[in-house]
Amino acid sequence: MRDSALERAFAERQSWGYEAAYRRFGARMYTTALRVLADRGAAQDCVHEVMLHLWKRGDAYQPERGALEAFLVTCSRNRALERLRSAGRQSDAMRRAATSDESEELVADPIERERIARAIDALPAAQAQTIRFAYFKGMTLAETASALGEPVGTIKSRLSAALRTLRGSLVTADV
Amino acid sequence: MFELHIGELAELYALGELDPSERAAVDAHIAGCMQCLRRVGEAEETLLALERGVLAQPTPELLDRRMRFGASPRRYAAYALAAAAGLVLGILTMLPGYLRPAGPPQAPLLAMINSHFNHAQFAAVGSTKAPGAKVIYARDRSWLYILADGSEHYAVYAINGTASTRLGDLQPGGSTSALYVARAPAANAVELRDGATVVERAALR
Ligand SMILES: [Zn+2]
Repeated sequence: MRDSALERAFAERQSWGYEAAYRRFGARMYTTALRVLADRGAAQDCVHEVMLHLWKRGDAYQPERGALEAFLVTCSRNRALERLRSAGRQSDAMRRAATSDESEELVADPIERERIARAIDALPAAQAQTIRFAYFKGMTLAETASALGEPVGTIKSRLSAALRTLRGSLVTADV
Repeated sequence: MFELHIGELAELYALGELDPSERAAVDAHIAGCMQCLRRVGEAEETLLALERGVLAQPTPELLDRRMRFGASPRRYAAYALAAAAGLVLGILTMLPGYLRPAGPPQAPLLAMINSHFNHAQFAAVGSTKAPGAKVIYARDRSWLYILADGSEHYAVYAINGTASTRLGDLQPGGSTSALYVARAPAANAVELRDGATVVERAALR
């Protein structure tokens, strides 16, 4: 459920909004960063950097955009990807993360997993393959393009189309 | 840059697949276009749904266990700092101006908010039992903030080549102890010492 009072407070840069958002969504932000970075400390630093960066910027979020949790988790994932790519490492960390001891403790609800697997299977085959490579395996666009033998532009369009279709099957009114 | 709207760049933006100039252009566009802002938000919500299916959120018990007994206990300092940042932000802005305290702990937080900073972890020296600790410091080295688990009063030294300067002692507060140094001398490392014994050291990049 979205909490509109919290979202408004965050958008208006009220400090209680930041504190409450950190308490409510920090763990999910951490998990997302951890999946990218496969390093607990780096994942924690990442969450911390995102919150401070947003506080400094002050105007990055508004409730009309969508759910605050989605915004924060995306920020955390993108910050983690930046760290990974600026460190010159590619997607190995994400492949490792999938098998690390910690992620075993964090296995998702099997029903949720199944629901997502089914939504992806229902995509056109080329889109499903693209999202598996580019999203779940954490491959870059260039890596995905060369693995699938397609131009990068095609990969971009497929990813975009896949996400829009998945929204229809995955995102319910109570995000 | 865009003929009309941002189109598929909305999803690529949410996926973190745009280069910095494209990102900036999308940011500028969605600041004034509700339709594209919403499309970006929808992509972010879809990513959240996918994340929920990949890994479950750690339970509070798991986070707590990891913070105290996990493989990287020294990382507890990062949690403590982030939590302290949230609390300090909260307290600071809720108090009327004349009641706001002038000294730490908001000094390190304000310094962090207003400048670029790096983190470095302390590593134990020798076989001593070193508590988890980290140093957060301005890239221009204008300030240092040292945070350690536990309530030891270790002395903090800035190391510059063979020279060392005592910066002060860690001050316990709650489950951690900390020292904020507003005008730090040039240093390539920071040490925590117990008397003459070096307990742990962090190299500054
Ligand atoms: Zn637009």
